Amino acid sequence: MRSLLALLPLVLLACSGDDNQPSAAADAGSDAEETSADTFEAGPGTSCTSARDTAVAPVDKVSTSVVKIISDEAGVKTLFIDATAGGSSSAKSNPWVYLKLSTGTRVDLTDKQAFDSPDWDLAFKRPVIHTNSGDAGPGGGGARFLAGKAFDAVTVADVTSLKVETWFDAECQPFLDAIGSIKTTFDSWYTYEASTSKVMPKAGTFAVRGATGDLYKLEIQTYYGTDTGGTTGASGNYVIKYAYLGKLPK
Amino acid sequence: MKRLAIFALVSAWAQAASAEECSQNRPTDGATAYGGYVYEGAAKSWATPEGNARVWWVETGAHAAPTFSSRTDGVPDVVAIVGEVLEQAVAGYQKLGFEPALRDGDYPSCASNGGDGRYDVYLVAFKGADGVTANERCTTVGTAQRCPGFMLVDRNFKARGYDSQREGAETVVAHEYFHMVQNAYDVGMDRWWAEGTAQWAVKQLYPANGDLERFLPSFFAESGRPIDTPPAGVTSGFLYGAAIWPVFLHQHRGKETVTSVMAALGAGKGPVLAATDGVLVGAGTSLADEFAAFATWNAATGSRASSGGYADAAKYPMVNVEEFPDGETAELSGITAGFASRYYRLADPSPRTITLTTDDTRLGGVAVPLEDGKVALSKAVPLPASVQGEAIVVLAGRSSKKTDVRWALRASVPVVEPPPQATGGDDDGGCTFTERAPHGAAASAAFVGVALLSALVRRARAPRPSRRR
Repeated sequence: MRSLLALLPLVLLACSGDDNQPSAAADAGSDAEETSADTFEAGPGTSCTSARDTAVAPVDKVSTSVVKIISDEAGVKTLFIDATAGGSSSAKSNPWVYLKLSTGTRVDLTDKQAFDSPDWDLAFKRPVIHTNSGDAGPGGGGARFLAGKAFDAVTVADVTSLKVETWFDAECQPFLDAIGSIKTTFDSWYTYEASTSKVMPKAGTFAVRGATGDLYKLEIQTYYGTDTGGTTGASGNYVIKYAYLGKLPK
Repeated sequence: MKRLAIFALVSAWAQAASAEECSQNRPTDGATAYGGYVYEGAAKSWATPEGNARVWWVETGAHAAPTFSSRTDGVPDVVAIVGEVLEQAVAGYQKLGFEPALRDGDYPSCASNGGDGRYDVYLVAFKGADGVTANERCTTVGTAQRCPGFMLVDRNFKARGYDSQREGAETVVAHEYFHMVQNAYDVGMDRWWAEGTAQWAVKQLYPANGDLERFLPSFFAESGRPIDTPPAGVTSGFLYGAAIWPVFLHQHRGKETVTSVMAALGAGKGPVLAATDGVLVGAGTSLADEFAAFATWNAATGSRASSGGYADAAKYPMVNVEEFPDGETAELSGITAGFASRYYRLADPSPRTITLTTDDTRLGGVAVPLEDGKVALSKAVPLPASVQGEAIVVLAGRSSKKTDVRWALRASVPVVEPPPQATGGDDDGGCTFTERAPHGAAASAAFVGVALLSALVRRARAPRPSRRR
């Protein structure tokens, strides 16, 4: 088993005096190296093309899966996202679902197009979620899990650091989790219950930076959702809620 | 589906907790049992007369096993079959040259070892799997982690889609016991090798068992994926389909190659591909050369099978072969990495020179004729080569490196140069490619290396289509 989490480079957000204007800083590993907010730019994508294609298995189709806003109240959107990809046995032949957080809508891109597009913020397929950043795309996204932090209690001040999608080491060897999935910024969002064969969201909230720098807080409510917000759906059906926290400078 | 392996996941948990005494509680241990598989009611056990196995079951509650018995001692048939199969696996794998699994009888203060040093099997009602191996009390030997453990298997194989309890036991128990054998070497070996060799091992014990073949399509459908980079998910068929690699090592290099790789892993010479290269270099070949042969054999399966290659090649699925464009000069290019393979069919019957431009420490190419739709393995030649007639070009990785390697494959009408001046009267020195064609019959393709020196140098590293089985 690989245990390479510690090798994942981080991107730190150094909060300025203005809670709504956090600045971005880059870091590689534990030796944080802060940079000014002015350097916040979209990334170049991956340098591990073959390894990325192996890991993601891009499908040359646009997802037609349902992404539906269940509610939009007081700045908090609740979304249903069908990321079943046709079920576990068909997933490899069906594309990822790309989401734009500002609108709560699906972005119609093939997987290959998404690698080069800044127009999406999050991608979903089965239990794997990633941001538009680093090896996943040219966006300036990122995420970090705030373990145990309740959604309502999260403010921009809690977002002291974010990770970008760093899927490979310098030799393009993938960082994998226990089940062989690429370790994304949303890695370990769930616990697996062997006795029920179900995945359950861990308690806490994700800080998510969109492709263009918008900062959000996001809670995964269930992996077994329905489009009315229920929890009795098939696996791969997310219900998430999220809210805008602030805008990062370009 | 078999063994929808929560194996890797639970294996990871097992490793994490393995330093503790009794770290993996068993179904007989109450609410804290491993994976939530908790027996209700009094557990029964049956010890095999051979002395290696103890099978546990309950007759009440959610995990109740079928109690039908055709035996005079009243032991349920499914219990006895599981015990018998485990005994066959213990004896059979040792006969193949593997170490036995570690025993759990020396847990000094752990009541949860099944009461003795026998290998314990617990029959439970699985939800999404039908067998799992748990590790406990691992010890570090060099860089290897060696662990005893126990296994859980389904209580009723027949209800899981197997034709019989025995077929299910042979498929699952023998597979899981091979994981226990692997764990006597190193619990951390790559999952594709762990699952692949477990499938291969079952086939050695039970040649009629069809589980190995059942998963091969998942591997053959993804030949472009590096062998050591399985798709995500512990249920991936690719992991099990990777059994074709130890099948190849066995049939091309001898079954001791598989045991030697396992021993190398136990000696801390992993990961698997590095250990394999070490073993193969010691045998006078290399992983790069053998992988090229493997990739070529994989082109010669199903309806493309002829002589040579896998013993059961005709029963195996076929790799995807893409069409190479026609034309006087045609080119394909791409990016690849690792020990992966790609296949292109040249349908144009006119003579052409096939060249591969790439980093040849990372990628190599082989051309092999198609004769009446059958791959003529004995006529495979490394690129560059001249071909005439239908052929398959095989691109095969020569390195496990995963950084991008670019390649361009070019087919062009050959330029026939005038014969060089004879030096010393050796008429053979001026042969054109057509004259040197080793199989020049009109009905078959003609293949020969274009640059003789280059071909000779590269031939030493070329795949060796073999009839060894």
